Amino acid sequence: MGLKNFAKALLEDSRFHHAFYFTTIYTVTSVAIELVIGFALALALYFATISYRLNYILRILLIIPFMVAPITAGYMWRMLFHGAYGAYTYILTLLGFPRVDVYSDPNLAFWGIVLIDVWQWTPFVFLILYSGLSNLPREPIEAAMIDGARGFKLIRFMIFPLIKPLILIVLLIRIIDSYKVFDTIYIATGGGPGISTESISLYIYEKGLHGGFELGYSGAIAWMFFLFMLGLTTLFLMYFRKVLKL
Amino acid sequence: MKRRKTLRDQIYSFLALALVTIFLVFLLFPIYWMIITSFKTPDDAMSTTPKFIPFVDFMPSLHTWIDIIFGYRYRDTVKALFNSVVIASVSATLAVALGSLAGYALSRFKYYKWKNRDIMGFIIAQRMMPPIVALVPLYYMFSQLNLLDTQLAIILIHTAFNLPLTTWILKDFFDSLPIEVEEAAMIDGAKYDILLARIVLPLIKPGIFATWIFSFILSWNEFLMVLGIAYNNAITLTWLVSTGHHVRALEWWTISAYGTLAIVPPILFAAVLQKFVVKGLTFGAVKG
Repeated sequence: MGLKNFAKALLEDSRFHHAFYFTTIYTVTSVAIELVIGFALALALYFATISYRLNYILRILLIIPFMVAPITAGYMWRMLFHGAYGAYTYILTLLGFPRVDVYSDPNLAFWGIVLIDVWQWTPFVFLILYSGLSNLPREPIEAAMIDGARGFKLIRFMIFPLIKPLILIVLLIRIIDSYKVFDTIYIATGGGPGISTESISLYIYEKGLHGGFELGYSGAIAWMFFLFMLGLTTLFLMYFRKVLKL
Repeated sequence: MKRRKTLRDQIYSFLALALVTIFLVFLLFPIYWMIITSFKTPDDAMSTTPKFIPFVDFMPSLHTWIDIIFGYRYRDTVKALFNSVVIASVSATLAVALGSLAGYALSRFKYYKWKNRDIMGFIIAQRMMPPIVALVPLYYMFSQLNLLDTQLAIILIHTAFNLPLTTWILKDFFDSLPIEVEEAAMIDGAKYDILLARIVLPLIKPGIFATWIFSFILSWNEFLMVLGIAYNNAITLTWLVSTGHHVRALEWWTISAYGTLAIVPPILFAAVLQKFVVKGLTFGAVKG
């Protein structure tokens, strides 16, 4: 006995390997997209003001999605992309795309899941980066602008270095949370089609509590998952200390 | 000196905000769609040319809402709503009560050879752990205690999960209080119980309120633990929303109504939490 479960998971269980691979790709893709859009939104609302009232309202509306329970989010999107009566499916067919059910299509299901994550968490990235921006000292930025720094230069050499610690924090939080993903996938695809969108959490659940009742084996996987997350976070924090010189 | 806005700046501003608004449509349309679906009759909801605008494309009906509130689903609805409210509010209250004591202690006292910073790190490390890792042992533990499918089990779990966050957030609030007030009260002879109840806690009332709401929403939206522990008695709204999973003939309108019910409190609190959530979710690393 002893380490048999661990050896089996690491060496033989290809379903586990796939779950691990899927979760990693999913995390990298969605976090990258969220960071880009979230940063762009934060910059847009920081620099562009027509009226303060309008900006305030936009800000409140922008953060609504991440207040929604992930389970509800997954279900909303599944309904929108439903093969027969989904609103988005219908709009896509009007634009000339073939009628498919995104969440049961082997090629599209992955992107469908990423889309939910982007929908739900871009607002969060936006909120944190925006509040970081509005806490930045205003004088150096305005001085740079008077000196003629605009657009890309201003962002690259002025804002980015100032906001970098915050970007790292957001990155860390999003990576940790994204690896844990369960609710949205459970609802939207149930890990399918086949096992193509099965995340680690979902696999542990299916194996241990739902179908298999192999509590020991799923416990072993859960334990490895935990160690992996711990390692990842520690590495990240070490990098953090180096960059921020704490 | 304020920089004058040129016409070019204003055009850029306008374009940027227009893009933000387009993105906003992407963010809000799913919610809009869910809400209108809950007011559709089954025929309208399952039409192959979707109906977008109430009163124009279709006549809104209260059919689904009457069904879940008075119809045969009435028992499930009441049970889940009741459980959601009880579990979220009790666990939030417990987490805030314990978290404020812990936060105060960590903000004001030193512990022999440990650094408070390290203790805080140890506490928040729990957030690194994927909840699924805890679920398997918790399931086993509660089945031994005969507490599966009880509100108590879920309350305990949610309290434990939210405690690190409430401790962190509240410690931040205590840190921001000037210590002189407490010293003055102690010179006047106040013991710690009076100090906390009469002086310190009232001073950070807004913080406590916000933390409570935050913790309430986290518990309200939580699903995985409920899925693992509850199956009949202790089901919550998120559990009810999920019942459509794996079902072939999905009743979109029913689940839409439950979903709409489930997003009401979080969205009501969105405005309140706007500034505050940042602090909570970044472990207090952002001063805002």
